[in-house]
Amino acid sequence: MRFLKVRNMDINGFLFVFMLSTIMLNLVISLYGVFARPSLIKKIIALTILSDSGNVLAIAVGFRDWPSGWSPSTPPVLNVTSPKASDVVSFARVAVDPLPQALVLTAVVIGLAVMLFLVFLTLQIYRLYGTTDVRKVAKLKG
Amino acid sequence: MFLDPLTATLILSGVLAFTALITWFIYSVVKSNPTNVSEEFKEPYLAGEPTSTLSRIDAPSNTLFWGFIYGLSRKLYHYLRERMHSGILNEWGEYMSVYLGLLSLIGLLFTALILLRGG
Amino acid sequence: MIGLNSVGVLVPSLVGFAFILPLLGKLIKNVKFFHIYAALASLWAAILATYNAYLVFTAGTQVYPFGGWPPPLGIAYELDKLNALLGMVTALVMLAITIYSAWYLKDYEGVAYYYTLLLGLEVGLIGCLYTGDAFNLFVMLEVLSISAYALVGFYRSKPEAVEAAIKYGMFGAVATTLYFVGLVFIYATFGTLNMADLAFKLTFYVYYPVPNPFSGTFFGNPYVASAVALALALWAFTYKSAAFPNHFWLPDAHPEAPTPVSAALSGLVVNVGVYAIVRFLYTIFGPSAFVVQLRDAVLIALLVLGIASGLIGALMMVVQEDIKRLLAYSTISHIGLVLVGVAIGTSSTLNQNSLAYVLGLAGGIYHMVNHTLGKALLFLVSGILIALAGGSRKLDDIGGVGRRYPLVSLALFLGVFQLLGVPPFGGFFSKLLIYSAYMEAGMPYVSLMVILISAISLLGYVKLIYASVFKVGSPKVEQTTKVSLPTAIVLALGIACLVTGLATTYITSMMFDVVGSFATPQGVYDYWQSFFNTLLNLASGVMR
Repeated sequence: MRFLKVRNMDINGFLFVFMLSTIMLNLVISLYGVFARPSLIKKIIALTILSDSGNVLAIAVGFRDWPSGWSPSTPPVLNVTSPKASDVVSFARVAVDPLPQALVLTAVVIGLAVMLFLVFLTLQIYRLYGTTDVRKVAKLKG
Repeated sequence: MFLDPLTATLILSGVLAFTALITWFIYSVVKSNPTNVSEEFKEPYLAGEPTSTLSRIDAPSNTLFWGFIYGLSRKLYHYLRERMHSGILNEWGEYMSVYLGLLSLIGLLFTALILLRGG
Repeated sequence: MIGLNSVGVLVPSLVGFAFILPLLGKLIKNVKFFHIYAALASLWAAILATYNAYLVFTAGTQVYPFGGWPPPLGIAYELDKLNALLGMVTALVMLAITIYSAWYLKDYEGVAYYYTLLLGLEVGLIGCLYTGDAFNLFVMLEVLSISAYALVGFYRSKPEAVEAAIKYGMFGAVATTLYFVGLVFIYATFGTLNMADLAFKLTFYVYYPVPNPFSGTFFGNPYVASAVALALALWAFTYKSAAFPNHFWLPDAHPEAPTPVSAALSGLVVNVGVYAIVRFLYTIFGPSAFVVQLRDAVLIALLVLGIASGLIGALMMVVQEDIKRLLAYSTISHIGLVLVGVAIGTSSTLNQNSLAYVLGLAGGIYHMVNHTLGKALLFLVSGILIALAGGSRKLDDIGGVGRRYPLVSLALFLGVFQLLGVPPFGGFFSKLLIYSAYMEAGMPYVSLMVILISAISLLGYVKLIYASVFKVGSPKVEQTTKVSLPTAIVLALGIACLVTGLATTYITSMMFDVVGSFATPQGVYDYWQSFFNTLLNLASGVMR
């Protein structure tokens, strides 16, 4: 988790940083795919990777400290009926943030709709042009 | 003494519109109606040309400006029309990704500046 | 709280109106019903949006928390003068477009789906403008986008339409996804997505750095998060507003859509992009936010892009042979001018010359409104001309049809004068404001560029007028086509254009008022103030 302070990094921190770098790499690769691949199908696949990388990044943001070595962070449910201030503080430190998951849920649904629409358009392009190569799908220019 | 620019503009444009109205009125009285040209005028026979080219008493709109502009800056328009607006998605992507890269570069330089200063 | 409900009810009720339509399409076969239904829904939206604008201009900023949740926890709509004004203009122009659609699609069977998409577009537009939550802006942007993609590809057996739709949709999906990634960075660092809350935290970050779960690392660094979020959001918004390197989709998408949709896309959808840029650069990452240097660099980049898209739009406009494509390039040119106007607010301008700051922003917003009216008018006129000339979009084929229909030609002239900036029209005064702002700010070369852009685009407009009115040898006019309804609509829009110019003293002072509500420190302060008041009211209700 401590990106610049390598010395006192624990295993969870290392895993977190590793995951973040992987997501960033994924974002860059998928952007390359969308911008540079000629096939519309490949572009759509790259777009899926792009939006999914964004979603995983959002989920990772909800990550909270693991209290100790092998006990994982908890779901955001307060299991004390009448919480004291100290309970709330420890709860906020340990419990997973649910809001990014709500954001991702919305983004996934919207992404599904857009993706389905793009797939339909690609199918229609294939029917009308006989190809999905964007270098040949260029009737409109100038 | 001067009028303030806003009032001056309004008065000036009112005068212009009035002048235009009078000019248009005079023109509409004086003009010969081009849509009601006689048959002889419509198809003049000069020296054996096909009548179809002569029956057009106007210049096609695209030759007028297109010829003028294109002759003026053929190179610029070649670049703009053939290279930039080529209609190919991936060639647009080059320009768009350069712009994305530029914005990221601004962000990166700013971050580097701040981190080096110890922000 | 009664007054507040008109803010909250507008978008959800429009969603209801839009999505019940496919069901009604199964039950009711009479096409006329749908035309009337959609016109009534638009009228409802127009009345509410006008009322909201009235409310904001008389009673100050309005906040509507959905479901009664206090703002940073729940989604809130926050209306200041900027988005109330733009929302009103949007709803009124959409009303004109919806009524025009009844004429345009009178012989078309599947109007239920068309109106679903058109009302969905209106939901997206007004939702984007009204929302006070950055994530809800993303959702509404997607609602707007997917309606727009579908409307561009509405004639799905036409190769050009499908091609334009996929070109628009492919990069549009990338743009909105990148905006989402930017939001994730903002949320991780500042722990909120509410715009007023963000503006507050960004202003006071230097004095009260709020710790976040990632503090002390590269990921949770507020400077990094601001840089990434601003870069990605700006890229996405310039895509929506079609500024220079992201403009390629526009001249393909706008001409291929059905004509009323072209008017909506060209007049209204690009505004949303500019609005979001303005909201991000002036309210959230405002002049008093802690990332001053970043903001200045981004604004200078935006100025360069504005000039470039103004020039390229004007140059490309001159050589078009397709009337709708010509108008689409003119949109790019005008959005360039608007961006030039709103890019004035660098910190040095604000500190040394606050008059230039206000003039430039007021000119930008004013030009946005003028362009909306003029461009919607011209697209609707082009639809009439195309229908009269037998369906061809080529300027040569249209050849002087307008001469037979003097009222349509009059409307065309009004629209062209508005966009060209002929003196008594609004376009002149907004260009004058932008021009004098840069003269005032000591950047006369930018002012010269504004004039140069107008001068180049003059050739394009002259070509448009010549081909549609003055050209002799017109083709056979479709005498059976009845054009009284669309003529009335375009004339109404033309009169609106004239009013923006003739009432310019009043409108200019209103624009200064608008700028005061979102871009000055006092305006941003009011923006939080209403946010905190709502928060405190709701929280005290919960405590009791």
